[in-house]
Amino acid sequence: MMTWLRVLRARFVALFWKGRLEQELDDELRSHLEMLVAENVRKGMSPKEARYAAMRSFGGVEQTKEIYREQRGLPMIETVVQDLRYGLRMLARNPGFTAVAVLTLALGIGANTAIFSLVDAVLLKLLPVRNPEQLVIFAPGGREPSTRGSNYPLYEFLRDRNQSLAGLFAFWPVELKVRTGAGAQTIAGQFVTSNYFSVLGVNPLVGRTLATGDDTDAAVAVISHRFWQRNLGADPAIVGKPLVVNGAPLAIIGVTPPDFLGLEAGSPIDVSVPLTLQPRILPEFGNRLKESGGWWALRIMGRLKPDASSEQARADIDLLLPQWATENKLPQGVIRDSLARAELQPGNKGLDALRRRFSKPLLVLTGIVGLVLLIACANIANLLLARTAGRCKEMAVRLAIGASRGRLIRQLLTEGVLLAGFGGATGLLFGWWGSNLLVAFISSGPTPVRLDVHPDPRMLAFTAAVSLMTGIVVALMPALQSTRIDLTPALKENAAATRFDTRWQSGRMLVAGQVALSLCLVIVATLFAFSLRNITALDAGFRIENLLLVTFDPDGTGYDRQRLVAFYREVLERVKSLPGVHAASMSSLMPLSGDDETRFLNVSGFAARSLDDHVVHLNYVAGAYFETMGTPVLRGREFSWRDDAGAPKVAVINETLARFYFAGTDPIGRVVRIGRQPDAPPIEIVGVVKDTKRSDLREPPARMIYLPFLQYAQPYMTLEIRTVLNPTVLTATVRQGLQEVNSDIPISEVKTAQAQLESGIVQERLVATLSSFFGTLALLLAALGLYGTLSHLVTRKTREIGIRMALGAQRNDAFRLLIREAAWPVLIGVFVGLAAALAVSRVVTSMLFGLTATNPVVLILSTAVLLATATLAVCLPARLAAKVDPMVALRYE
Amino acid sequence: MTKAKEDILRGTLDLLVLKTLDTLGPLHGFGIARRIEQVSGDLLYLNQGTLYPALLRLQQRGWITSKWGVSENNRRARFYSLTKAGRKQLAEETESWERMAGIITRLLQGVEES
Repeated sequence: MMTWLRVLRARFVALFWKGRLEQELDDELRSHLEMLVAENVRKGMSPKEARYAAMRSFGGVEQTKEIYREQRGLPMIETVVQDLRYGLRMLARNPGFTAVAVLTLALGIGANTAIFSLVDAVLLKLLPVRNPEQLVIFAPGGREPSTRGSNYPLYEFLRDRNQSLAGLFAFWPVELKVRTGAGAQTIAGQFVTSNYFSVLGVNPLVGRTLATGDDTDAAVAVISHRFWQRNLGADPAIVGKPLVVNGAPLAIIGVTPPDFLGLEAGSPIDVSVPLTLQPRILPEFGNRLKESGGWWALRIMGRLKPDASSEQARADIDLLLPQWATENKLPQGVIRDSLARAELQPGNKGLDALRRRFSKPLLVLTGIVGLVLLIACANIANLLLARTAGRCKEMAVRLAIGASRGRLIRQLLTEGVLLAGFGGATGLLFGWWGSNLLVAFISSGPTPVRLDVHPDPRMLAFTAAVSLMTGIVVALMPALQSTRIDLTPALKENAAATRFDTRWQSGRMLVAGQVALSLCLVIVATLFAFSLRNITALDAGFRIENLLLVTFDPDGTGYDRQRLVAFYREVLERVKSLPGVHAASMSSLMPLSGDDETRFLNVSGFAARSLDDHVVHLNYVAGAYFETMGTPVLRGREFSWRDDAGAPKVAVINETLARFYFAGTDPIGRVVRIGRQPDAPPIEIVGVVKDTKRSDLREPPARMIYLPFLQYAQPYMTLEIRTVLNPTVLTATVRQGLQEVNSDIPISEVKTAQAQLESGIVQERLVATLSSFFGTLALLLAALGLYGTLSHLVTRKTREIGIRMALGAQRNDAFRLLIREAAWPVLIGVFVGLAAALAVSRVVTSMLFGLTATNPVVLILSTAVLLATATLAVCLPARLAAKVDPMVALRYE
Repeated sequence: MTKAKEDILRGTLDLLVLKTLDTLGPLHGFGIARRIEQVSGDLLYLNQGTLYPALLRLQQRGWITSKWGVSENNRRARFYSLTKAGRKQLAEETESWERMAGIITRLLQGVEES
C-alpha cells in the first residue's frame, strides 16, 4: 500500500474514534508527566517541587495536544463539520430569515432546475448508444435545405457503394395499431432495416434484436422496455409471444434497454418491425421498398468508420447521389430540387425536430431563469449584509481572540452554502414539479411530446452545482465586508453604526443591480406578451370562437368510401338537429391544423412562368361550409347538397387564387382543370371566398381551391360545428348525439378551434407565459429587496433622523431624505437595465412577431411598471422614517 | 543569546526515534525522549510537542506500532515498537543520512582546504 494512502486511512479512521483517542492521548501525556515527576523525586525534590519542575520542562500540554490532533485526524473536514454545525445553529436562531431566504433561493434554483431538465432532455442528451459521436444523419438536398429523408432504393445504393461508413441503416417512424391481450391501441412504431440495432450498438435487455436474416420477411418485432412494462406486464417469458400489428401476427423477439427510446427526443418508439414487412402491415402505401421517386420519408443514419470524417462521408455521398439519380432516370427538376447534394448532420443526439422547434425558446428561458436566480441572490446577499451588521460584535470578538479572517470568511461562506443547500433541496422539488408542467405545456402542441423528466443524476448534479455557486455568490460580499473590521471601535458599545455607511454602499449597488436585471426581464416579458397578442389578433379568415372540431378514425373499420360519405351525411343531419348548434359542415383539411394537400391546377389562358405557378392548396368541403366557418363569400355562391356526384363539377376559390390567375377579370363561370392531363374533367368556378389560414395565423395567404366532397368521396373529414354558446359545454352533447348515429366509426378527437389555434403557437405561448411569470417574480423580488434595504436603513438612521428633527427638521424632510437615498440606486438601475435590455434584445428579435425589440411603447410601459413598483417599495419604509419621534429616537441608543 | 541545547534538525527526529526503538526494543514516549537526550549528552532538547506528533506520524505510516503496557515502576504507559516496514525504513534513512552527511563533510572540508 502507498504510504500516503495508509496515512489517509489512518487519519480518516481517527475521525470516528475521536473520544477514545482523545482519552488515550490524555493518558499518555499524563503518564509522561508522572514519569518526569517520579524522576525529579528520585533526584531529591519534594513532591510539590518535582511536579512544578516537571510541568515546566514538559511545556504546554494543551498546545502539544492541539498539534497532535492536527496530525491525527483530517483538520479540514473537522473544521467544515464545525462550521456546518455552527451555521445550522445560526439558521435555527433566525427561523424567519431562514424561511424567507430558503424559499427565495428555492424559487430561483427550482426555476433553473426545471428549465435545465428540459434543456437537457431536448438539447443536450446524447443517444444512449455506442460512440454516438460517430453517427451522422443523412438527407439528400437541393436548392432548398432538406427536411426530407430518402427512399429504399437510394438507401440500398448508398449502403452498398459508400466508402466512408462502417454501417448505414434506415428507419421510418409510423403509427401502428397493436393488439395485445389487453386490447387494441395506437402506438408509435417504426420500420427499420435489420442492421438498425447492430449499427447503433443497442443490445437487447431480453431476447435478441433484429439480425440480418430478419430482412427476408420474418414476421418479428422488437419492443421497448416501456411497452413491455406497461402493456405486457413485464412478462419475463415474452420472447416468442405474439403481437398483432395492424392485423398481422408477429412474434416478439426482444426488448430494448430502458434508456433507449428511439432516435428522436420527445417521440419514443414502442415497437420496431423489419422494413420488409411494410407491404404486409401497411398495404395502403403499396410497396415502399420499390418506390424510388415520389416517396422521401425514409430516414437514413450511418456510423462513420473510425478514421473517416463526416466531411469525407459527405463528399463520398455527394458523388453517389447524381450517379443514382441518373441510373434511375429521375427528371432534372427533381434532381435539382432534392438530389443535388448530400446534407449530413451530426447524429449524436438523434433526429432534431424537437430541437429545432424548442432550442431558441429554451435558450431564452434559460437566460431568463438565470437572471431570476441572480436577482434572488442579490436579495439574499442584501439580507445577509443587513444581518451581519448585527453580528459585527461577534466577528470582532472572534478576531480578537485569534481567529484568522480567512477562517471567519469560510464560516460565513459555509452559512451561505447551507442556506443555498436547503434552497436547492426545496428547489429540486419545485424543479421536478415545474419540469412536468413544462412538458405538459409543450405537449399541448400539434404533436404530443413524450419526454421523460425525473430527478436523474444529471439534474441532481446541476442543482447541486447551482446551489453551491449560489451559496458562495450570496455570502461572499457580506463575508468580505463584515470581516473587515476595525477592532477597537467594533468592540465598544455602538459597534454597528461605525461600519454602516460602507455597508449601505454595497446595499445600494445590489439594489441598482436588482433594478437593472428586473427591468430587463420585464421588458423581455412585455415584448413576448405583445408579440403573442399580435399573433392572436390576426385574422384567420373565419370566426374562431364558438367553433367545435370533431375528427373520426375510420381506419380499420372496413367502411368503403361511399358508405363513409353516407355516414358523414347522416352525422351532419344529426348534429344540425342538436340544441345549441347553429350550423355544421365538414372539410378534409382541419382548420388551423397545418393539414395540407396540394394539386397541379391548369387554368386555360394563364401563362405560367414555372412549375410552382401551377401549385394550389386543396380542401374538400361539404355544403354550408363557409356559412359554418363564418368566412364571407365575396362573389357567387357556396356549395350545397345538390353539388353531388351526379351534378356538374364545381369549385370555390379564395381571393388570392382569384387574383393570381384571373387578375382583374371575373372568375365566376371560368373553367379550370386539376392535374397535368389536358383531358382532365373541366371544373366550373361558382364562388370566391375570403382568404383563410391553414396552419398558423402568421402564414402568408396561399392560393386555395375548394371542391365539394360529395363529388370526390373523401374518407378523412373533420366535422365543424358552429355553436351558439361556449362550445366546450356542447362537447358531451355532440359525443352523445354522434353515438346515436348507428355506426362503429369511432370519434378520434373533439376540440375547440380555439384550442387548435393555441396548440399551433405553443412555443410563443410557452415563452410569453413563462417570461411573464418570471418577469413578475423578478419585479416582486426586486421590490422586496428594495423594501428590505430601505427598512433596514430607516432603523439604522433613526438616531440621525431624530437629531435632525430635534434640530428643527420637518417630517417631510425625513421622508425626502429617505427617498433621496433610494432614488439614486433605482435610477442608475433603470438606466443600466434599459441599456442592457437594448443589448440583449437583439437575441429575441427573431422570436417576435409584429414588433421590434426596441418598441418604444414596450420600453416606456416596462419602465413605468418598474418605477411604480419601486416607488411603492420605497414609500412604505420612508413613511416609517417620517413617523420617527425625536424623543424616542434620541433615547434609543 | 546563549543556546544551551540544540533543537533537533528537521527531519532527523524520525530517524532518531526509529534508531532508538531498534536499539532498545519497545519503549514509551518518556523513555524515548530520555534516551535521545542522554545519548546526545544532554545537548539535544526534545520538545514533547514535537515528539508525540512524530510518534503518531510514524504510526500512521506503519513504521511503528504501539501497545498499552506497564512501565518498570508499575505505571500504565504506551509502548512503541518497530515494525518490519519500520526496520526497512530505518535502513533506508540511515543510508541516506550517511550519504548526505558524507557529502556535507566533504563539502565543508573542501571549503576549508581552498
